[in-house]
Amino acid sequence: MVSVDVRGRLGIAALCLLFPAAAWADCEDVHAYYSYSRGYKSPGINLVRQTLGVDVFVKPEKVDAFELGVKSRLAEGAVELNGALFWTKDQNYQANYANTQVSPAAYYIANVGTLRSRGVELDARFAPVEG
Amino acid sequence: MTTLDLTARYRVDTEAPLGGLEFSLSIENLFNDKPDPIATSIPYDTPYDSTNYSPVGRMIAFGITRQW
Repeated sequence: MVSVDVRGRLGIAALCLLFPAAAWADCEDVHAYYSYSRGYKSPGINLVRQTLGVDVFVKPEKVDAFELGVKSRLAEGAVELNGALFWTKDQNYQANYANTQVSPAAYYIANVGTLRSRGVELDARFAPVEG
Repeated sequence: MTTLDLTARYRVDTEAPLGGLEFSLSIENLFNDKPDPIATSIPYDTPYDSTNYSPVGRMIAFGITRQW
């Protein structure tokens, strides 16, 4: 009986994802979201000896973060299924840098290019018994 | 690095004997996955992303909680 109910709700969940405004389906328990955010870390100046010939200026670091996800409650709250895709692009990443090309070695903050962090998050909760 | 975390929890009904007790068993990082190595310029720098990942590995915990 419960499994039939879950399957029915999963069908409705798929329907709600395709047509979020579907009036004929009860989409209250299924919620899809999308988010974009921008992060910023200020530029700076390194206090390293100028005679080393190192570029003392650090460019600002900028992060674009995207997330697309679904949160759902099925089987009258006994099942919770959530999933998300995330994609983060980090430009001009400011890293602790050891420059051993110069003598003596210099340690400072440097922009080391673009980093990417992407992945999938899934989480599920089941409450099979009353407790 | 991909981790799978599992938790089971049972809260005993307050009316029953042992009422107010909650038992939990959790396994974090079931497959004992390790963080990916990263490039570092300083030899003694942590060679993985220690902000986002843990090097601890699989951890199994059993818990008993009492509420009153």
